Amino acid sequence: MIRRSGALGLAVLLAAVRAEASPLIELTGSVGDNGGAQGVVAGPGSASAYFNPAALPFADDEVLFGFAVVSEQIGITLDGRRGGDVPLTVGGRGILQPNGQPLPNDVVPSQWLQYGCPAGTTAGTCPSPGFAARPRQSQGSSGVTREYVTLGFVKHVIKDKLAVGAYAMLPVSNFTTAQSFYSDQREALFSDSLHPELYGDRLTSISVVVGAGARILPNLSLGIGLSLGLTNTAQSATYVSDSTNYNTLLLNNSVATQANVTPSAAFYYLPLPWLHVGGTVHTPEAFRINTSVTATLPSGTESGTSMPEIFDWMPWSFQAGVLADVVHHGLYSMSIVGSLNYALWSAYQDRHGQSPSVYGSELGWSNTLSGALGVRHVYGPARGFIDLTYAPSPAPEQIGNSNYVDNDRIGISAGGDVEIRLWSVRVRPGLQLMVDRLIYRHNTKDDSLITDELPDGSVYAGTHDPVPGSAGLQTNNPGWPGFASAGWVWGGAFTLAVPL
Amino acid sequence: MSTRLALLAMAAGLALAQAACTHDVVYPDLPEPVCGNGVLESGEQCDVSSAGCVGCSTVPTWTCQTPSARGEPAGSCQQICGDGVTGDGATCANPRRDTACDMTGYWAVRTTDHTRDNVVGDLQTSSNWNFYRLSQTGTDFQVVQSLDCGVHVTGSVTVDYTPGSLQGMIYLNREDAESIHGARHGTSAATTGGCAVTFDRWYSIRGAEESYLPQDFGSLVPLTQLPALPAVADPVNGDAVPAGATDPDGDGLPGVAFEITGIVQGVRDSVQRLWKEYASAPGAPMASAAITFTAPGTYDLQESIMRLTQCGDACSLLNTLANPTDSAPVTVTFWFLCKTLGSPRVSAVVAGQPLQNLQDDLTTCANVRRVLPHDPS
Repeated sequence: MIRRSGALGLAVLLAAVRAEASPLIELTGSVGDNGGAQGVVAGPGSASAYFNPAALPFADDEVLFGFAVVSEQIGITLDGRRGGDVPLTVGGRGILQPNGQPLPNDVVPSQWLQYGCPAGTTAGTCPSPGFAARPRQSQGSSGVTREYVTLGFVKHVIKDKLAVGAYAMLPVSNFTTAQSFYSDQREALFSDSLHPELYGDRLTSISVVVGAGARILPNLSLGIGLSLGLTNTAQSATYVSDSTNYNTLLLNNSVATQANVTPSAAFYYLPLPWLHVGGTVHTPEAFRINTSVTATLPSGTESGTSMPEIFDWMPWSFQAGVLADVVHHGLYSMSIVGSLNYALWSAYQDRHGQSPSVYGSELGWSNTLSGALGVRHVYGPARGFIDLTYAPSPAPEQIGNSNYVDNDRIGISAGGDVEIRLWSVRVRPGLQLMVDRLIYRHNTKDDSLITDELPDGSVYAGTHDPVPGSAGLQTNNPGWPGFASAGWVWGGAFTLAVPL
Repeated sequence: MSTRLALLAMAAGLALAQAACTHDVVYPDLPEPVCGNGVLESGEQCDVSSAGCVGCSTVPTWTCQTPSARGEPAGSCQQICGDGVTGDGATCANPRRDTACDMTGYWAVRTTDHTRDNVVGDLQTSSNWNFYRLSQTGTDFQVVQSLDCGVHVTGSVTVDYTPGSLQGMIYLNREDAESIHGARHGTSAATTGGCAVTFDRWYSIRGAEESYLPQDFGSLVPLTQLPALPAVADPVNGDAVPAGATDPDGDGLPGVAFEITGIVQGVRDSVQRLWKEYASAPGAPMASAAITFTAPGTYDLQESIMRLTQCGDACSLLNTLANPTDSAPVTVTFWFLCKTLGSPRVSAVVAGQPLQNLQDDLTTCANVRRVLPHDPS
C-alpha cells in the first residue's frame, strides 16, 4: 500500500490496435437503397460496400447522404437481497481466510458501497478522503439516444463489370468511446452496476467501409470490402508524489492514431433471372487497448503489469441471403427475401479481454444463427421494404459470477424511397424506421457458483477469533441474487440519394 | 385523410417513444437475517437454541444439522462422539467420557473469577481460558501441554487482551513440564457419587519477570508476602520503565496491554500477579464421566498499572485497581475434547500440533474460547 508519504513514478502505456465499428452497421442494417436488414442480398446500394461488396456492380451509381438516430432503452432490474452482505468489520482488514492467506483488499464492506465511508480517524470512518458511495445500479449506462451522419457512394469503374463503393456512419458526437467494465463482482468497486454487453460504447465507433465488386460472369460477381479503422497509441507517464492527493499528479501524455483495415469477402449470384443469392464472410474485428503500467517507488522498487482491453469485438460471421422476384406486373414488382447470419460468438472476448468461459464451461457463449424475412416492393420510381428479424443472444443464463446483460431480439424495420426531380436534378429521398424488442429475460444466480468473498471460517489475524457473519455466501456481485433485462432499440433514418 | 393519417402516425410514435423509455430498477432488499429466529439464513452456521450453537455459529465439538436449503427451519445440534466419548444412539445423546474419572486427554478450560471495580463498585466477571493436554496415572494427573488462551472481562467495562497481548502471552506461564516450577498437578479420584477433583495452586505473572513468583508453588505463599510488583508513579504522563517489568505484547510499553471498552475506553498496560486453585467440595463430587464439569476454587490477584493510553480525558477512571471479591463463586470449567490428536472432536478445536506454530495455536485458543464462551452470569 502506498501511503501519504509515498511518492512514485508511474508510467502508463496505452497501445491500441485496430478500431473497427461494424457493431453499429450490423444493428442498423442498410441505410438507404431498400436494403433494410438484409443488405447481404437486397439493395444493392452504397451499404453493399459493407454487407455485400459483390453486389456493387448491380447497384446504380449514386451519392448517399443520411441522418440516422438510434436509441437504446434497455432496462435492468436487480433482485432484492436477503443477507449476503460483506460485513462492515472487513473494512478494518486484518482478516485471514481459512487457508491462512489474508483476505484480498478488493473485498470491501457492502455498507461502504451502499452508503460510503466518511473520512475520519474514529471508528466507522475511513482515511481521507473517504470511500464514496456507489449504490447498486446507480450508474447504469442504458437509455441513450445517439445521432449519426451516413455517407455513401457507388461508382462503376467499368460499366456493368466493376464498381467501387463506400459507406460510413459517423457519430455526431462522442466519437469512439470505450467504456470498460467488469462483468463480475469486481465491478462493485467501480460503477457497482450492470451494463448491456453488446450496446453502449459499441454504438459510438466511427464506421467506414470501402468495397469493390467485379462481375466475372454475367450472373456472378465477387467482391471484397475493407473496414477502415483507427489504431490509437497513447502513452501516459505520471508521477504521483502523494497517493492520497492526486491534485499533485504530474502527467505527460503522448497519443498517436493510425488507420488500418479488416477485410471481408462476398459473392453475388443470379442462377435465374428472378433469383438472387448473396453471401458475405466478415472476419473478426476488435478495438484493442493494451495498457502497460509501470510504477517506480522512491525506494527504487519498480513494478509493472499489462492489461489488455478489447472493445467492439465482432466475430467471424457468415451471412447468406436469397431474394426471389415473385411478382412482376407492369410497373409493379414484389420480391420475397430471406437471409441468415451464422456468427461465431463462442470466441467472444469481453472488454477486459476475458472469455466468458473463464466463469465456467457452461457459461461460455454460443455461436448464433439469426435470420430475417421480408418483402420488397417496387412501383415505378418508388421502392419500399419490410423486414422481420430475429437474433438470439449468444450469452447463456447468467447463473454464476458473470453478469453479461444480453437478450434475444426480435425486430421490424420498414422504409422506402422514391425518385423525384428537384430543380431538374434527380434525387431519391427516403425514410426508414426500425424497432427491436429485447425480450424480457431473468437470470437467477446459483449460489454455489458465486465467489464467497468472505469465506466461511475466516478469522481475525490478531486473535484468530471467527469473523461474525462469515457463514454462507457473502458477495458484492452487483448481479446477485439475480437480475432481469428487457427493452427496446429503435431508430430511424432519413436519406437522400443522388443518382450519378 | 392524409392529415388524419399523420396525426395517427404521430400519436403512435409518441406512444412508442413513451413505452420505449425504460430505466433501471433495484428491488428493495429483504429483511436482514435474524440470529435467533430459528431459520438458517445467510451468514449463519446454525440458528437453534443449543449449547452447540452460539451466536449462530456452530461450537467446535458439535455438529448442527443443515437444512436442505437456506431459509428453512434449522435443525438441532449434537455432540461429536468417539475417541473417548460415548453417547446414546446415532445422535450421540447424553455424551460422556468412556473412562469415569480419568482426566487423560485434551481439555478446553475456562476459569471464572470476579473483581469489584473501585469507581462504581460493579462486579466484574473475568474469564480466563487455557488449553491443556492432561495425563493421569492412578489418581494423579499433570499438565503435559498448555496454552494461555486469553482473558475477557465484563461488567462496568469490558476488558480484553489486545491482539499483541494474546500472542505474547500464549506461551508464557506454562503449566507443563517446560515450566521452571515443574508441571502443574491435580487429582481425580472416584468417590461416592462421582469424582473428587483437585487442581493445584498455580501462580502466574503478566508483564513482569518470573522472579516475582515464589520458587516453590507448593508453599502456598500469599501474594502479599512476595516482592512488590514493579510500579510507576504516573501511568498517564510518566515514561518510566521500572526494573523487572517486561513487554510481552511488544507495544513498547512495560506490562501487558488490556483493551478497555464500555463507559470508558482506553488501553491499560499492567503487571498482574495471581494464583488459582480448585477442588471439588467434600460431599459434592463432579459427575462421573461427565464431558464437562465445574469445580469451585479460590484465587488472588495483584495489579500494578504501568501505562494508560488512548483514553483521553477518561484516563483517571482507568487509573484505579479492581479488587478480588468472593461475593461470587470462583470456578474452573473443564470441557473434554478427546484423547487423540486428529480425532474429530480434537480436530474441531486443535489446529496442527500444539506448541509448534503460533498461528495454529492462536486458532486453537480461539476455538477454546468458542467451546466455553464467557458466562457473565
